[in-house]
Amino acid sequence: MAGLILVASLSIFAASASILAPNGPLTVNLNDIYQAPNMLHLFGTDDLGRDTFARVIWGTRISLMVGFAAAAIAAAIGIIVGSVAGYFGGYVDTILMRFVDVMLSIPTFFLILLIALIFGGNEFIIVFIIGFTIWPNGARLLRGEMLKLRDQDFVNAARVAGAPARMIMFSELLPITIYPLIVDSGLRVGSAILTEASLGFLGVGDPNAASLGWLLNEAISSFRSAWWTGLFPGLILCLAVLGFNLIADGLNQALNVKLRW
Amino acid sequence: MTTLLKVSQLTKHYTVQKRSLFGSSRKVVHAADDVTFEINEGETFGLVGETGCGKTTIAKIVAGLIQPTSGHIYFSGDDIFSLNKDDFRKFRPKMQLIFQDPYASLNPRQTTEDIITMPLRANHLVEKRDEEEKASALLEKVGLSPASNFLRKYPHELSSGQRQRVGIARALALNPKFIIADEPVSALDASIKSQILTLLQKLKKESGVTYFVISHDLATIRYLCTTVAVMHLGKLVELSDSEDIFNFPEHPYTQALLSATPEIGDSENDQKLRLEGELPSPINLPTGCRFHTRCPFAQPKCTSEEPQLRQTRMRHFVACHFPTSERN
Amino acid sequence: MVILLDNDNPLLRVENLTTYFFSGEGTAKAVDNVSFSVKEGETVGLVGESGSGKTVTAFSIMRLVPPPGKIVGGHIVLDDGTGDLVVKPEEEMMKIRGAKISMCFQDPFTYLNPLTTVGKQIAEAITLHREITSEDAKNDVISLMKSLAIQSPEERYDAYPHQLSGGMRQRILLAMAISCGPKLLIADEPTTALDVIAQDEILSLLKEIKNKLGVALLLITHDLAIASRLCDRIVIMYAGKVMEVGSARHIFREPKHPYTSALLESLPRVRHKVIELKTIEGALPSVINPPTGCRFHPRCPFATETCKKEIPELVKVAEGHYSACLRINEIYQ
Repeated sequence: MAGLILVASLSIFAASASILAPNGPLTVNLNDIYQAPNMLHLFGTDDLGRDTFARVIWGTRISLMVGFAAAAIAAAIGIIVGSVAGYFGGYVDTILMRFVDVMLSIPTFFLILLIALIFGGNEFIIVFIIGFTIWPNGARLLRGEMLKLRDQDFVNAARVAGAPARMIMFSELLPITIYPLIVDSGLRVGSAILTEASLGFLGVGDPNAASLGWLLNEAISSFRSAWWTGLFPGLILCLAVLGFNLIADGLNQALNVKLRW
Repeated sequence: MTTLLKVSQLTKHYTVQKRSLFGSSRKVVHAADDVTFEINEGETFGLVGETGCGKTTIAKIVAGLIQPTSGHIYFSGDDIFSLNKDDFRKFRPKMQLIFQDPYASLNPRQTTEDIITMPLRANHLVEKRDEEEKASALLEKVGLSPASNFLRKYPHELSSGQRQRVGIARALALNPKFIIADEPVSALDASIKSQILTLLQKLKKESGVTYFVISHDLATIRYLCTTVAVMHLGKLVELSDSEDIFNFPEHPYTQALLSATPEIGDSENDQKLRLEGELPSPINLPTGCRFHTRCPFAQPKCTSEEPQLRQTRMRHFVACHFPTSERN
Repeated sequence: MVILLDNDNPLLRVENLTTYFFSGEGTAKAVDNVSFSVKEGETVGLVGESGSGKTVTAFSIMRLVPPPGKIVGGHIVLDDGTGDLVVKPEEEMMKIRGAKISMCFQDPFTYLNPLTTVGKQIAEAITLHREITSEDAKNDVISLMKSLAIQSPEERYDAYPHQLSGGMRQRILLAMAISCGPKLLIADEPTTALDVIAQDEILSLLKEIKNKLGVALLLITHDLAIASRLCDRIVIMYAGKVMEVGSARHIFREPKHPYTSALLESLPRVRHKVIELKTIEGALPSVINPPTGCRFHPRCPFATETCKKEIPELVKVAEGHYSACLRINEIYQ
């Protein structure tokens, strides 16, 4: 519950970026550099006179979008791989799960970092890269559920009725088996946001997109004297990840109760 | 009488890996061995036996859910495991299944309407707008009336008798000619059993469907079936008309089963055929006749030679060297 | 309030026993005003379908009702001087369980410790109630196993539960149950998990135990045929209440309750072919919200308006034969 409120308010905050900070994150005003938080600039300004509040709000927007999108891509891949592996079993399952094992054994962050460095700093690419690397855990969870239920009588009834495998997997089984994957997706959003932030912090990606990670990157140099440039992006980042983790936790508890049929 | 289903030399073996500190060994579980029988159109054929006798395995193979190790299943003359995709699609709706467990046989997240129309949707036989009408008609057929009370209910909102009716309605959705009923009333309470048993008889009368009933309960089999086959440790040991099996059992195992089954009003002085020893494991089968270790009539021949199914009386087949009619 | 006076000097008297389960969804009236008695050496069957209250009755007698269940009324009197079990403190009940009243259960596998040999488990039952050396206990166990037709008992002593067949495990449970010579053995669906042949063996064994040891047997079952085979008297339960009590002969040949007769006419038989089964309409009632008045009235072909309002009491219809039906005189004259 708390997580939901947190995330909801952050989302509204981010969504209202265009209203609250219509000038965008990039407006430079060299007269106002390094101002501490004041009435005009709620979060102060940075070394180029840019309003930190504006930057934070736009940055939140980017970070959240990246998080959601990456988690969504991961969920889609996870659903397909998990369903196919869990339902068909046998060779298919073995091959897919070995692949999953390989992916899980690679340190994902370095993989993402490498690919991002090679392919350049477009936020879209970053979203895809993250999405394509964080799906294995969800797939495994879904596969586990599928394996549990694939030989239940109601599934046999569908087979005997001539239902194609596609229908059995997605109409009959998925609505029941998907829950652990959904919980995992909640956690993935949080971790995707963090990953993107880390990339930004290291200077990988698009500085103009000005995600929260980039803000932190730029805050490094000025942190001693202008603490506000680092504090606010960092705080929002924490709240976002906390929010998603709380949601995932809450979902987990709710589902464990519900899962008795 | 046309033969609708022919089971021919059906065999199913499972290999089990036993791993221990000293290495692994492969053992073979003989779930079913060389089982042959025919079911005619309009019959109610009962397959009876204790746990592990292979009847459920046979049912699943006939239903096309698992592959046999060897042997054939012919439905209306076609070998169902050799059919190409199109022919299989044409065959599939003709044979449907009623399951034992009214809890596990219905998708807990689907409404009754969805469950019953699933076979129709799977075969693209119904439009979204007609689903409710078709489902209602089927619900009425199985006695869940008025249908509107049941369409939107979930399985957990129904009693076990109602769930079983939903399962039957689903089996009827494709208008099958042949229905396999796997322990159709075993999971139901006594006062509900008769509802489902009479429903099955009524449906048969209305549509002339052929039933293949699997059960361990002899009373259910006697009520429903016209022909009965008895299985023991993967082999078919006796096959005949229902009344003939119950009144004049030829195989010692059948006799033992009948005398071990308690009945209301039995007197303690009734003749009983008592068995010695324990049920052998399907991994380590006895030599010769699989029943000889417990059989009170066993002779040396039974230890070495496995008896084949042969005719002893009119339409009565036994796999025994010393069936009742030949014993003194 | 009916006390079944026909049975003089009964070993066990259950009087107006009431056990409820208190849960968030409501109060389940699992056992409601149940009365019957068991004579020494007699076999009484508690027969009923799911939700009839037969198992909860058995657990109540043993004072083993799990929370949120609680005995809320009635008496369970052991007439050998022990007194009312409902009010006994737990330390005294521990001495009674196993020694005076014993119980064996439906699925032996879940009631046996998988990590200890079966011999040791039976011995434990003995040493709990008697001062005896472990060597003597072991010998007692082996002779006990012999008397229960467990072959090669010395070897089987060292076996683990998973190494034995279902029928064998049930014999082990029975051995534990009779090891201290109880006066009453409660058997809760002892053969439900077994195939017909193993079931037959256990039922014969129970009969033998009864004959040899003179122990009284309270058999809990849903199967009328099993009850017919083993029981001298039968208590028919439905939705937490007793519908009819009588000798096996009375119940099966001249039932005097619509539920009993409907049930008998609705079951297929194995000894002869039944052409037509008489169905009982409707479903089993909930015990949280049971029907008012007579709990069978929604499904009873003879129900009248009175049946919906008045709760029938057990009334004598013949010597040792009681029925809880408001319309007995009209239906069966």
